[in-house]
Amino acid sequence: MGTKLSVGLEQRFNPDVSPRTDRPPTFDPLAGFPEGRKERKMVATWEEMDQWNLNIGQRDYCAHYLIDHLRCQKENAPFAGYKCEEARHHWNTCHYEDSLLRIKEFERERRLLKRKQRKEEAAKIAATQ
Amino acid sequence: MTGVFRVPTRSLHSSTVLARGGPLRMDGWWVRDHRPARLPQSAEERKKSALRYGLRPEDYKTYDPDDYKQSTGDYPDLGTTTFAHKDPNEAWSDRRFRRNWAEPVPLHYERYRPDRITYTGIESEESHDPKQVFIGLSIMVAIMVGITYHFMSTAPNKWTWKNPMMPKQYPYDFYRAWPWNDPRKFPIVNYTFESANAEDDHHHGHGHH
Repeated sequence: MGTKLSVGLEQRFNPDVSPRTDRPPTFDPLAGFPEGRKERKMVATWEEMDQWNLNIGQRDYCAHYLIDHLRCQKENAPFAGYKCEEARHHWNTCHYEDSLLRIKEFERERRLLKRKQRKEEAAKIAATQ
Repeated sequence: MTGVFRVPTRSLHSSTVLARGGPLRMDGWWVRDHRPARLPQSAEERKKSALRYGLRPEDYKTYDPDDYKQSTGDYPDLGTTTFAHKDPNEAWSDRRFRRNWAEPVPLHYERYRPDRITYTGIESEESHDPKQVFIGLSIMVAIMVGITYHFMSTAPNKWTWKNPMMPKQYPYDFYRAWPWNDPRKFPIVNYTFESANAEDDHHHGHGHH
């Protein structure tokens, strides 16, 4: 509760440590990961997505769940709402996990911005001494 | 809706009621504790009732006992004196309601309270003064335009609510490919928060590809 407000207030009064959410993270994605990071895997192929007529917004990392869902809807035409509950749930869960990842990326960006600010201040103090 | 039908239903039966001597004389019409007092019969009783309601005996008048909608036993008929009838400059005990202490309350007092919008219908004209309407609308529109301007502006550091969430990740750079290029030429590598040599993510287990 109050997250939206506190994030907005930080953006207004402390923009230097507030991540810009209109662009991807600005730091090296592998910085601070000595073992590296696993790459996100795109399962649906481009041809498949063309075949199912997905628009640009739908061609994300959850596209294969969407295709499963569309296929299920086509097969169970009048009863798709009931029969495709599972497929729909998988697609929704994938998007939920995608949001969690985006929130984690925000927090990483924010902490790295704060770290950068701390380092700059320390460097400034060291320069005066 | 029931209230709309109740009155005419009662009116239909008024002849029966009147034939049996009116509601005041009819058993079961009133709840015992709510039943109005008996009408004064003798001059002595009239005087007693008048004093009880703070009136001089010559001013004391009851409602017609056969008027079953208004008849309230020995409660006096005080006529209709609205809030607007009363002098605003008099030193009332309660200036807001223009009432004196222990002043008798007319039966339909609640119909003529000071919060009634109008008694004459003339006052309502005042609110349609075009100048006032224009000023009011101008202020309202100015505020709405200000709010809209603030929230439509794309200034990055303006104050608004914001979700702590980075933009959605896509495997292709659609912006770079737009409009005619093929997005497959511009793949983007995105990362999860797991280390590269960790085992397969259980979250991606329920696909069947």
